[in-house]
Amino acid sequence: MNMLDWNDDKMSLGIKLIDEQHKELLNIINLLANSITNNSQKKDILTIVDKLIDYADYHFDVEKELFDKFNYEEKDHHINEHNSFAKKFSDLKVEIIHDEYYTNKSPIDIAEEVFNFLIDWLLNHILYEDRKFVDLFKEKGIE
Amino acid sequence: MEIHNNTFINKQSFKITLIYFIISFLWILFSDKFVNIIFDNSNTISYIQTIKGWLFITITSIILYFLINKYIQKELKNNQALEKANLLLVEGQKIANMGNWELDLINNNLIWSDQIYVLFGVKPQEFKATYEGFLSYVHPEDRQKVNDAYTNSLKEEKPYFIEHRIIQKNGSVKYVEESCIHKFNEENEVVKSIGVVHDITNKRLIEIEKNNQLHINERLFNNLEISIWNEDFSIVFKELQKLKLEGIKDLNTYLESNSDYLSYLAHSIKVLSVNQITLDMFHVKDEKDFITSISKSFGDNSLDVFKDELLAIWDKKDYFRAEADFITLNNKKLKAIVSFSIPKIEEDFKSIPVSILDITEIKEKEELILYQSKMASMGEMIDNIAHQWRQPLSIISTSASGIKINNELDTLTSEKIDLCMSHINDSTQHLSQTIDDFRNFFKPNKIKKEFYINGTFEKTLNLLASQFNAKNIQIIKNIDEISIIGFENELIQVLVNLINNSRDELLKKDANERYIFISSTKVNNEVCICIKDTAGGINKNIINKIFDARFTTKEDAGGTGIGLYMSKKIVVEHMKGTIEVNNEDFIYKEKSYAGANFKIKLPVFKDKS
Repeated sequence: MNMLDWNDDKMSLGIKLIDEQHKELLNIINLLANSITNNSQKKDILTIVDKLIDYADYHFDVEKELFDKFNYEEKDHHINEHNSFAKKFSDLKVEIIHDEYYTNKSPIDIAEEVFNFLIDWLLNHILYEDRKFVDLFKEKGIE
Repeated sequence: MEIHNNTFINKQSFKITLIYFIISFLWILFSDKFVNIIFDNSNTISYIQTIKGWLFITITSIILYFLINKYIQKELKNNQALEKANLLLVEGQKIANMGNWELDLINNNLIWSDQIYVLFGVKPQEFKATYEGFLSYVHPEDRQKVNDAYTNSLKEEKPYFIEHRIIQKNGSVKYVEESCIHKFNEENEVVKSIGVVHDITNKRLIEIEKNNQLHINERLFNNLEISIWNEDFSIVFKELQKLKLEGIKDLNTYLESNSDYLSYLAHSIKVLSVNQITLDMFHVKDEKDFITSISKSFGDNSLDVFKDELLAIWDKKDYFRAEADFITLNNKKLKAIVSFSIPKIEEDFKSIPVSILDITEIKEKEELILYQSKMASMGEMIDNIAHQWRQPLSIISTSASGIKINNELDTLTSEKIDLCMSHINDSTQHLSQTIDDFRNFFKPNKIKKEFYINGTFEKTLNLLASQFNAKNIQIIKNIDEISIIGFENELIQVLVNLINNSRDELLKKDANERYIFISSTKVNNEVCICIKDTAGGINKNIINKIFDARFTTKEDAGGTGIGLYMSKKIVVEHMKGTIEVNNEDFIYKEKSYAGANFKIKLPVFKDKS
C-alpha cells in the first residue's frame, strides 16, 4: 500500500498536464517513504533523489514556459520557490554522495529530510501556490 | 749444598787427636814400666823397646784407621741423609710455594732458597742479594710497613709475622706471608735473621674476589629500586614438614579451619634485614624500628597472601609471586608485587630474600586507563545507539507525517492508519530491542559462562548493523559453532573495537570495495577468530605499535588509542589468549585486495559431554 494516494477533490488543479506531473511527484514521495521503511541503501536513495531532480527540472520548465506565455503576474515569486527547491536538492545530493563520514548524516536521515520537505512542498506549493495560476491558465484555455 | 760447619770438624779432629794422645800417653806410661818389670837385661830391654816402638806404630795406625774410617762413613751417611732432606725441602718448598732466607747481619749477606727466586720472578745471577735488594721488590705501598716490621723486630729482638705484596720483575703482583726469627751470639746480639716467605697470591685473590662480590651484593641490596626483605622461614618449613608427617593432604582446607595456626605461622617469620629502598618506601628512618614493628606495614590482604605463600611452599613450587597491600608509616596504601624463589633445601629457608616491588603508581594508571577505555567504548556505543535508532525514528516520523498529510488530503483510510501504526509499533519494538542489546552489553559480567562464538558474533553485528548497511560495508561471515567459557561481553567489546577500526579505515575507500570478513574456526584446542578487511592494510611503520596504550592515528576523529590496547589486555589477561595482526593480500570474487587481518586465538575448554 502506498503512503499517499491521489485525491482528485483535494489535489487536482483541473489542468491535466500539471495534475499528471503532480501525480508523478506523489509517486516519488511514496518511493521515498518505502525506502525509509525498508532501510534502503544509499544508492537507492540517490536514485530517488536523481529522479526528483529530473522531475523538478522538467516540471518547473513546463510551468515556467506557461508563466512566460501567459505573463503570470506572480511569476517571479513562484519561480523563486522553484529555484530554492532545485538548490535544496542539488545540495542534498552532494551530502549523500559525500557520505556520513563527512556530513554526519546517514542516507536514511537524508531520505527523511527529503520526505518531510516534499510533504511540506505538497501542502504549501502544490495545494496553495499552484492554485493561484489555475484561473489564469484555464482562462487561456489550458486544460 | 752446605756440609757440616767448622765447629763440627774441629770437634771431630780434636776427638781423634785426643784418642791418639790418650792411647800414646798410656802406652808410653805403662809399656816401659811393664817392660822394666819383666826384663832386667838392658840388651833385651833395648831390643824389646824397638819391637814395642814398632808395635806402637802399628796399633796406633790401626786405631787411627778405624777412627778416621768411622768418621768418614758417618760423614757420608750424614751427607746422604742431608741430601735427601734437602731434596725434600726443595720439592716441599716448590709445592708449598714457600721459600726461606737467611740474612747474615755481620756481612750483610742474604741467602735465598731456590723457591724465593721463583717467587720473586728473578734469576739468582740477576739479584743483588742484600736486604736493600729485597726491599726493592716489595710493593711500594708496603715497603715502609715491611721495613718497619723488620727493624722493630730487630730492635725488640722478637720474631715477626707480616703479609705484604711484592712486584715481580715482569710487573705481576704477588701476595706473600713472611715470618722471621733472629739468632743471637754469646753477647746476646742479633747476628742472623732467618725467615720464611709463603706465596698466598691464589688464596688472597680468591678472598679479594669474594670480598668484591660481597661488596657488589651489598651495593645491589641497598641500591636496588626494589625493596628486599631478608626473611627467616625456617619455622614455617619445620611446621609444614610436621603437617606432612601428620598426614595432612589439603593444606588450604586445614589452614581455613585453623586460622589461629595460620596467624601463628605468619608471626613465626622473622625479618632479618631490609635494604635502604625499603626504608624510603615505607617512610621509616631506622631499620631496627621497622623490623620490630613490621606487622604495622601489612595491608588488608596480607594474611591471604601469606596463605598463598604457604601453599606455594607446600606444593614445592619454584617461585612465588603475588600482589599484596602494604601500609607505610605515614599511613599511605601501597600495592606491591611480592616475589621470592622457594628454596630447595631446608638450610636456605633460614634466609629468603623476598622482593617487594611498588606498583602503586602503575596500578593507579592502569585503573585510569581502564576507566577511560570504558568511557571511550561508552562513547562509541552511544554513537552506535544513535545509528541504530535513526532508521526506526525515521519510520516513526515518516508514518506520523503520512497520517497527518493523508488527513489533510482527506485520504486517510483505516488501512492507512493500520499501515502507519504498525510501522510505528514495529519501530518502537526495534528501538526497545536495541536499547536492551546495549544494556546487556554494558552489564558487567561477574561470572565466567559458557557461550557460543556464533551467538557472540550475532550480538556484535546487531550492535553495529545499522552503520554497516548505511555505509555500504558488506560483512562476509564464515562462523563455526564453537563454545568457549569466559566473559562474553568482554569478547563483544573486543570484536566491536576491531570491526569499528575496520569500518573507519574502509570509509576512506571506494564504496564498492568495502568488505569485512569474519571467520571463526576451531584448531586443536583453540578457537581462531579472524577479522579481515579490504582497507589496504596497516602502515608498516606503526603496525608494531597499534596495541600500545595511547597509540592512535585518529586524534582528529576523537581516537583515544585505548581500543586496541584494551582489546589486547582483555584477550591476553582475561581470556588467556593471543591477539596479533598482519597485512594480507588476497583475492575475493576475482578481485585482489589488501587489508589488515586481526587474529585472536582463545583456548577452548573441553566439552562437558
